[in-house]
Amino acid sequence: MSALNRRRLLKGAGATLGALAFAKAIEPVFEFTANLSGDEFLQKHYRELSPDDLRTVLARLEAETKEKYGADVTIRDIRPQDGVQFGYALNLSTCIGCRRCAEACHVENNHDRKTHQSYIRVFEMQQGSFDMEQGDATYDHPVPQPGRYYMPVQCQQCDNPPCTKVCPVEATWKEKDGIVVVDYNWCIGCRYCEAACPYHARRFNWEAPEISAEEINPNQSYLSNRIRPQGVVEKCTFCLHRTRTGALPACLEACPTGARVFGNLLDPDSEIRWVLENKRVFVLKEELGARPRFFYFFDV
Amino acid sequence: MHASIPSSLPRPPSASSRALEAPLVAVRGAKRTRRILAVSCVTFAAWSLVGCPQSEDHGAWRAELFTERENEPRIEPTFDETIRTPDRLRGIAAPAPDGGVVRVACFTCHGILQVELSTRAPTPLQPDVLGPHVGLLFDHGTLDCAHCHDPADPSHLRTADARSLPTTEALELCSQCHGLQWTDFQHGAHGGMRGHWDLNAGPRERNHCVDCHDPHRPAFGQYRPMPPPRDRFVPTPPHRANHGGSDAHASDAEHDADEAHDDRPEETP
Repeated sequence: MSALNRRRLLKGAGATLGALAFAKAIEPVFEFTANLSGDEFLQKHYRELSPDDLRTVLARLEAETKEKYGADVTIRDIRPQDGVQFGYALNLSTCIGCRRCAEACHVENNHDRKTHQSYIRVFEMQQGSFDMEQGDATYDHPVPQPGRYYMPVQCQQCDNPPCTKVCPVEATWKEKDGIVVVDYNWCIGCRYCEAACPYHARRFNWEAPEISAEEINPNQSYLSNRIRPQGVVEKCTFCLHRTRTGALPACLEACPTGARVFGNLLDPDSEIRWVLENKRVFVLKEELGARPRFFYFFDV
Repeated sequence: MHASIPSSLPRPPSASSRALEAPLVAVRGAKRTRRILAVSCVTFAAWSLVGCPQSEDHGAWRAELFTERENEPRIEPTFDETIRTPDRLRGIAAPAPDGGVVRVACFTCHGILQVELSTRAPTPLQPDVLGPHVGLLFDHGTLDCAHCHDPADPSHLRTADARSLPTTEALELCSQCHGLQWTDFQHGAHGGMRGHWDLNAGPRERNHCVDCHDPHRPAFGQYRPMPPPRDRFVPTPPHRANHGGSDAHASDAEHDADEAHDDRPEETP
């Protein structure tokens, strides 16, 4: 008879709590869709985009960068050159561990300023040892220290890359010139590739990169240094927006000791070929069979 | 009071008849398994012979590495590789009257002053050596001034075979003793560079020996490294903690600008 009895009250309270809990639980979905434009959601895989589609996508990405970061940038799509296979070599005898390369990478590739991220990790190693487990990547004292040597590690651009094979959505692949790339708009952020990489070369964007408009490098490309969205994996691309136009990578230009050598492996007169043919060269973790294109060598 | 079971109904199979049927099923199952196995073996063998059509041949380009290119016409690169001429080779940095630094050509003083070059290695130069050379630190093996500087003309260098060289051609002098480094340098494996790896796309600028090595004290010292990554799981060291990310970067950028003409990283005191 009465409109408000105990049972009704409890039912009502339960239903309200339930509805609130449900709303809270699905909140991330709305946040996700708010950050995701319809065009982005419907975008095809990079390799399936027609030239017209690609132009539209690049224009959209430029507009989004302007909107989110307030910077005018140019995002290009630069394809591999014929007759070019990139190779990189690093002289462990001359590297002093100054981290200039990592810093240059940080700036060139529009990395998150807060975490001071970079595609290069410089390990301080005990002389006479190759035990990477004992390497220290966060040293912060004058370098070089006696009894230590320094080993910068970045993506080795493997010829037989383990990372691309584990991707469930084919968002990462090896290009014709040997550079392993990621379609940041296709990546689902599962981080399988990060786990598969024996060189710990991939990074995950836990948060959207924080970077001020004046610090943004406006020379960008779709597959390399455009500002990555949150929740995707990124990696060194040998600065393909530079190297595919013939320029040297940013880390090489920054090196104060000239420890880095870059070039076309197919050109018999290239610097990289001279190093491979005349120096004591090795690759990291050769036994894994990933066949890196990043070589280390010694002077003597 | 039990109702009698009509005899027309089928009887449930007895335990013994079930036991008889089971091996028959097993035999039929084993035959099928064997057939499936055989078919898959043949398929796998064919697949491995023909090759998986989806997997790329990752090493195919390596065959091109050692192909002879003698018959191909040699194309001269469009752009040049130049070697920097550091200011240090054009004179000495001396204090200017306004408190700044001015670069003074060797000839400015040595054109009028007759200086007898020391034949011992001075460490450092004593105040009795006049002018801006005071306090010059010297640590270059067992050399002395006259090993590299021309005693007859202090604004010139002198090679081991007694040829006089302008200071701007120091590369030739250095390479007399540092042959291994010179070989590496000639092949792009020693010393920093900027510009293009592809000289058909743009020029390249190489560092000179003295861009990085002080000829009077050529060994590299110790330097302050750039800040390490601030990984989520690695605590920020106390002396880096007081400035945030953007601040740290800004100071580094200034630091880079200061050294625009000197590739040597900042030396720690």
